[in-house]
Amino acid sequence: MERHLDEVLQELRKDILRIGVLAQESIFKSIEALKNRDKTQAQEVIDADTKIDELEISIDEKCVDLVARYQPMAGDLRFITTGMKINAELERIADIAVDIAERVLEIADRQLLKPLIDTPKLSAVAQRMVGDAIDAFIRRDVELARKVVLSDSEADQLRNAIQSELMNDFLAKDPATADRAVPLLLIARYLERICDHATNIAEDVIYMVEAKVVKHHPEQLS
Amino acid sequence: MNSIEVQDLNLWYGDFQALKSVSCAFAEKNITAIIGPSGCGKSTMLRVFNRMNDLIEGVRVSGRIVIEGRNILEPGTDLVWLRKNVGMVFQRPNPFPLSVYENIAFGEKIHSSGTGGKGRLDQVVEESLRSVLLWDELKDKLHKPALGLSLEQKQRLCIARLIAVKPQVLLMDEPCSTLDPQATARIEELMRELKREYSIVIVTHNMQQAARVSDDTGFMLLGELVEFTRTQEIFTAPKDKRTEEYITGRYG
Repeated sequence: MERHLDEVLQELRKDILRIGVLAQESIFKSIEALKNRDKTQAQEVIDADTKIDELEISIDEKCVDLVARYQPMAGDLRFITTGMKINAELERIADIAVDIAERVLEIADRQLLKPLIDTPKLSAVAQRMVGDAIDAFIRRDVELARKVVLSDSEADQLRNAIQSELMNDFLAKDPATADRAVPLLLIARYLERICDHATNIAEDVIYMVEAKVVKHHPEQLS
Repeated sequence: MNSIEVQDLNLWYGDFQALKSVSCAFAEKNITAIIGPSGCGKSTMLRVFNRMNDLIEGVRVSGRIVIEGRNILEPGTDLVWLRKNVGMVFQRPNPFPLSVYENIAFGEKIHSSGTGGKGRLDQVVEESLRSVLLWDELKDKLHKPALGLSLEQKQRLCIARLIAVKPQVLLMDEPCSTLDPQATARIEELMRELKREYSIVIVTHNMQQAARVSDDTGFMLLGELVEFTRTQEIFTAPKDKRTEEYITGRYG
């Protein structure tokens, strides 16, 4: 039986896709701004955040309204509660892109400490994980969601590599490099956190589809 | 401990099979809700628990229903004992056309050995009315006709009438369907109070009510018990596709 609720849930799915696309755009632009030390593009990321914040609030309101009006149960309930959480994760991801953009503004006029090698790799992992997590949600694809969760260790390794290089090869040898090394350290940390949020989204998708809690229970993943 | 254990229960009305191989266990001092579309067999099952279907012609039952260690489907089951232990609350409150006091004293008079006299009866009436939170409202109207009470008061009185004879199990068939939302909420509150002492089985069309008040929920469809599990699980993550379709309103 077709239900009116199905139409409303479809709208919600589209809204979450929309905020997901905006968050992905912010990450992409902040990374491009970093690579090109492009202050204009960094500023664009910062300016775009208001729109994402507003969208987050409107999605949240829609979800609360849905719960109040329809008192959803079972799969509907899991879809809406997951939608609320994913909405918050995506908004956080966009905030982190703003953090990256702010660091880019700080270092844009300074000489780059070293050519960026692992940072672009980590940013590629982050972008892929976020993209896959959103896809997994839209398509209810738990296999893809599992792949995202498993990718998180790759992100951790890259961050550790970036961190130890910056600490051992630069900061330890010459503390005067701090003003250029610390923003890069922070950016690596930000990217790794984006991956954590993508992992959360993927775990939420698994709960939504299979009603299985894999968060904090990695053994449940298989 | 279980208050009721159902094993391979089948029931036919003539050629029509209304219950199909139902097996489940109702936990003691728990509220168990039975949900399902009209005609699914949920009220039939409730009525078997105190053998009310015996009154319908052409009914045939097989299987076992164990209450207090006895299979109540056995011929020779003491129905007075059974109905004292397993009381039923109906959709429309049905107090006797007697006073409030007499409604509650009625069962005690039948079931007790007659010792204790008036003082004992007064005590039972007061305790029963207190346990359904009617005492303060009605203590000065004990000898007024019960039929003059509000619907909610009547339903509480019917529950008090059962409690007066100290049953093990309370069966409730759509106990709130004639009540407004406030009265419904108060009856639900009462059910939560009562489950400290009694095991409750409630049949309801109101899924939100089942979700709110019960500990376990069973979903029935076409005479079959499709799923029977913790309420939280059935409303957030039902295992059977038919349960999911029913509780999300896709069924039918």
